[in-house]
Amino acid sequence: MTNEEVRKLATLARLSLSDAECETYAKDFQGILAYVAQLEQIKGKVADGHTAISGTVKSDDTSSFQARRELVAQFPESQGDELRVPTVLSYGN
Amino acid sequence: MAINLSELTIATAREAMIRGDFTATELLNAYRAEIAQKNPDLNAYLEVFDDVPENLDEIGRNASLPLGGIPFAIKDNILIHGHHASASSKILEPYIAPYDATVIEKLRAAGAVFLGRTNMDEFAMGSSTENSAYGRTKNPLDTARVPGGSSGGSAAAVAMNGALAALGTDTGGSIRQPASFCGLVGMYPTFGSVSRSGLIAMGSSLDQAGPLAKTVDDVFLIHNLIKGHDPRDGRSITPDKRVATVVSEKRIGVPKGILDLDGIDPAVKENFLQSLETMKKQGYEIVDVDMPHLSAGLAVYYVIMPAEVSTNLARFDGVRYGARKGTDDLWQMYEASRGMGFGPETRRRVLLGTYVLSSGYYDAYFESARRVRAAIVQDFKEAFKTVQAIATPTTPTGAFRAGEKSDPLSMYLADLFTVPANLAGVPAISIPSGVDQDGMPLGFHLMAPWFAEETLHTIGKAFEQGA
Repeated sequence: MTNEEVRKLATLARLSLSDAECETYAKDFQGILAYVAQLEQIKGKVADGHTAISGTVKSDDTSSFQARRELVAQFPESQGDELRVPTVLSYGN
Repeated sequence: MAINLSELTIATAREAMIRGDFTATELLNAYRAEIAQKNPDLNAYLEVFDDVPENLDEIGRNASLPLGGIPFAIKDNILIHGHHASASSKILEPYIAPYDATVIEKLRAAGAVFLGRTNMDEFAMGSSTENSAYGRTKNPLDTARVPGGSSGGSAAAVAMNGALAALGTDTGGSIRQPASFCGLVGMYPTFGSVSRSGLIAMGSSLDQAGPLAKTVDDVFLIHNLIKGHDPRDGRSITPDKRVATVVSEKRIGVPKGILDLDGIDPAVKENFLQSLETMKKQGYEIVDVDMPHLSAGLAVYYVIMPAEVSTNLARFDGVRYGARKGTDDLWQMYEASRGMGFGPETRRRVLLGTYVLSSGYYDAYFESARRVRAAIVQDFKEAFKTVQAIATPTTPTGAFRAGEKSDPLSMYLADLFTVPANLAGVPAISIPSGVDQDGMPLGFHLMAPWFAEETLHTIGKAFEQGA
């Protein structure tokens, strides 16, 4: 893997990385990906099946949360009861 | 009176409090004194709480409360209402839990007291508790060595007599491996048996909370109190499906070739063979079982887990909670909050997960891993047609020295024996089995069929009594 590929992954994952970090991770990933490459060989020889016990599907209902005020208190920035976020859409100038 | 903390178990502490030998306040103060003395060096606790239930001594005397007055250490990724929960990450440094995790609610209802929150690898990613944003935890048995991870703080807290029991979480061995490194019993329960509501998620097809304690009985006492269906956890299994199928013969399987894998310390092999002898003396037949895909478990884990990590950690973006960094530009705020908030190992796994899930590589990595995982599940199903449990060592080596494993892959190999249970979702326990050439503890690792925790309890007790 190249430094540029790591840089692209960092953009996809919304992470700021230094050039030195890109280089370190590129090197780490060579080793890790070489190790997990054995899976592609094994895949061809196994029957497909289920991986785990399945859970239950919840109905898509809303319910009120008792500790609402405490959740609001966790906002990094707020105005009254509302969460303050940077501008998502702008209308040009 | 002076309380001998090193000899105490939950059972003996409960008897003593009910009898009036000491009060719950005296017990709590004895642990707090121990923590005050040892924690500055060992760093097992990130924070020691100063709040106590009002009627603590009454709780301690109340014979109907199974954990009345029992002091617990809680891993920093489990929410306790009104307390910080940071998962040992900078990005959650300001976060205060707005509610109790279900496991905390249940422990509280049983009378437990919470001493504090314990150090861990950031977001539970690591095998040594060296990846914490708040400094490493030292192994109380040899401070130059690691306590294991990621629940290393919880294990060290119990091993240093800084708590009678602890809760950890286990995604690939994070309860069992530190239990083994610190000479404790630790259990990963059947996936879906214990609610994950109020746990900070890492790998959502793998994560479970479980106990670390000094005896097999203590571990199952805790497990039986925290398990149960919870509608707040989408993968929690309903009571009608909690049925175990276990063969009646007292037979334990050892996966063929398991001791021939690379990197296993000869002392671990020797100790494991002795453990099998102990089981034979306790009336168990030991047989080989064919589990051809087990050795690929670690490779499967290091695809599935980072994929789930990168998905779960997408929620930490500086928007709704945690630390917000950067300017008022949205994109820059995301990158800065995540870039500054996540430590090196967390970033490594988020990037790796992003890679294996990206469209060009999905088939090569994630889809391959998913299929081999299914083959591993099939291996377990076949094995459990003839044996009650499967035995391996818990770890390939005893506790290693801090800083010794600088290459990530060599650190990942510490999870070799523990990850298959998480991949299949079967319960597994580590029980102390002796020491290596440096005098560090080793563990005997047993895995049982889905929901056969009682089988693990029976076999585990037989091992404990025979060892």
